[in-house]
Amino acid sequence: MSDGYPIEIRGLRKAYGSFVAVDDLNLNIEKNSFTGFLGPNGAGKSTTLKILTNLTKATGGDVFINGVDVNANPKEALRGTGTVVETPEFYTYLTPAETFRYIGEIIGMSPESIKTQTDEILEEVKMTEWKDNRIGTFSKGMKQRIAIGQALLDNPSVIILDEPTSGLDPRGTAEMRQILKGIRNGKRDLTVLMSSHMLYEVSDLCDRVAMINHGKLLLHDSLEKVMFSSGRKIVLRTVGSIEEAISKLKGLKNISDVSIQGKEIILNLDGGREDQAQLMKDVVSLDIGIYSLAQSGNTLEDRYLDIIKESR
Amino acid sequence: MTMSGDFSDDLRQAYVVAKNEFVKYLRGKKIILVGLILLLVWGLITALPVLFNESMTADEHFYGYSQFAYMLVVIIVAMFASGAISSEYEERTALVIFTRPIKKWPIFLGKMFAALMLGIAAMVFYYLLSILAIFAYTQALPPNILLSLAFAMLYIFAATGVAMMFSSLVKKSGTSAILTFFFLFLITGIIYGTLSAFEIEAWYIIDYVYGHIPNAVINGTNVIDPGVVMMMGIPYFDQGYDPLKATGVAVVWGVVTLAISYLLMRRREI
Repeated sequence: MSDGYPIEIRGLRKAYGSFVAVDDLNLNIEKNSFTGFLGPNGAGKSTTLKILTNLTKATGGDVFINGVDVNANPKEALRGTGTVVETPEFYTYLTPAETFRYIGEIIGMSPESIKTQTDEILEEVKMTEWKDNRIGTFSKGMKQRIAIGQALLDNPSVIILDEPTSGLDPRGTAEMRQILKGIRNGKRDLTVLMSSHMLYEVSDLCDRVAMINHGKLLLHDSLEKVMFSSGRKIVLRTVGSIEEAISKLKGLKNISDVSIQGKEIILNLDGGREDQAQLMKDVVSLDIGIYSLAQSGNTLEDRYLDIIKESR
Repeated sequence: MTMSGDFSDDLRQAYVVAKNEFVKYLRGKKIILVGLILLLVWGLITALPVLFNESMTADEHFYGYSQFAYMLVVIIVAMFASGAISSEYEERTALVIFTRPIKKWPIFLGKMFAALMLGIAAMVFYYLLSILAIFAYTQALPPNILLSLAFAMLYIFAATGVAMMFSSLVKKSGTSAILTFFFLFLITGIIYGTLSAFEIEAWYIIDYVYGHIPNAVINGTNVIDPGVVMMMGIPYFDQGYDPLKATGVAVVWGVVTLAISYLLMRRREI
């Protein structure tokens, strides 16, 4: 039975002969969260998502979507679920509007609802202009926008995305990220599970993170906790003396470590956003010529690399 | 959803899939190619007797048309039914359709239905053209046209099963088309011909069914036992003619190959 999580994975196992792709994976995805599903190549992310979307059968364990066992009743489990797995292709002889109609008819939507939602969603994924053009002529980025769009049909409560920006050029990636942000910030009552290799993308979009390696769950927590569990890394630049600045900075509250990296001073701050706000005030009051104070942008990457390294 | 409600929803989904398959067929280039082949075959059979000033009865004329019906069926199933399942995997559209709230069997049923209907529609069209030509020449019609067409449809059913079986088995639609073509055109033909040469009954081979398409014109509902006949002075083992047996063989071939195809598709992972 389900415990009220939109996505529940219990003791999931998938073996291909002697190779175990997913090994006793347990993971509950919280309602209305946007969870980044991370792990190196071959960690078992795609296999897990394929089991969730009924593309592959598990060797053991259970997966539930909205409390329905995907293995026992995939049709019911996938009702109310939108998916974009790997890089899907569409029927090249159909237009985006016809594709949405086909999928909408399969889901069982009414013709009026299909029409209304098609217009709204195509607008949202910025494909209205190409509504009646055959998909066969589309670029990869356009197809991926259609993929996201079709996943939104019939107002799903769960969306599963497998590397939605994979293979896109920088412009396509940025456009896709904007669309995903729009979905996250929209009025939908949505739970999203998204696998990605792009750590910047995950830290930009997600509020929770789950990491796996060798098919096992390593960590599952809020993005904030994952990124800052070992402190916040703050980078300072000064026009004054670095040595003088370091000696003064060491005396500040919640600073656990101070080091130099080239011409930058790296502080390790224990605490949350409020402590970081206080640090900014304190640094200014020290009058040590600080002209730049920034949180290190690589925090998730650093944490990811540490955790994956530990799991080897 | 209740069980009957769920079942009717499955059937509705099968219809949606079939509709999409028809759109695929009608918007593709293959339909034009098949149309041209069909018209070419019909055109040659119609024009050659006129060119050589041969006079034929309606039965003889129709025998000529129906003799080539099975070739058209093989071409049609190799072009369409053989890609029904494999194309979803090859073109990665399965990632969209299979992740939707739809069971595998309505997808399979929809695709099978569309492939069958296309084959039947093409055959009906070919028979109608043939009837028109025969009537124009002889002002008469042979009596067993519908029986011949019925055997053509039975052969379509059996051949569609074979094509869909290969479609579920292999990764690429091209490979599936080649396998279907060679299996129906060559492999079973070699087995059937060799068994006939050894005077062994081979009614269980799919070729037994297509032999009934032209023979229905002459034999109607009569049963002809297998045996040695003289053909241009050479003794030849004829596998005989039995409408009921041929119907059974076609149904068994169709049902078994379609069942294998469905089971393969169900087990297939992406």
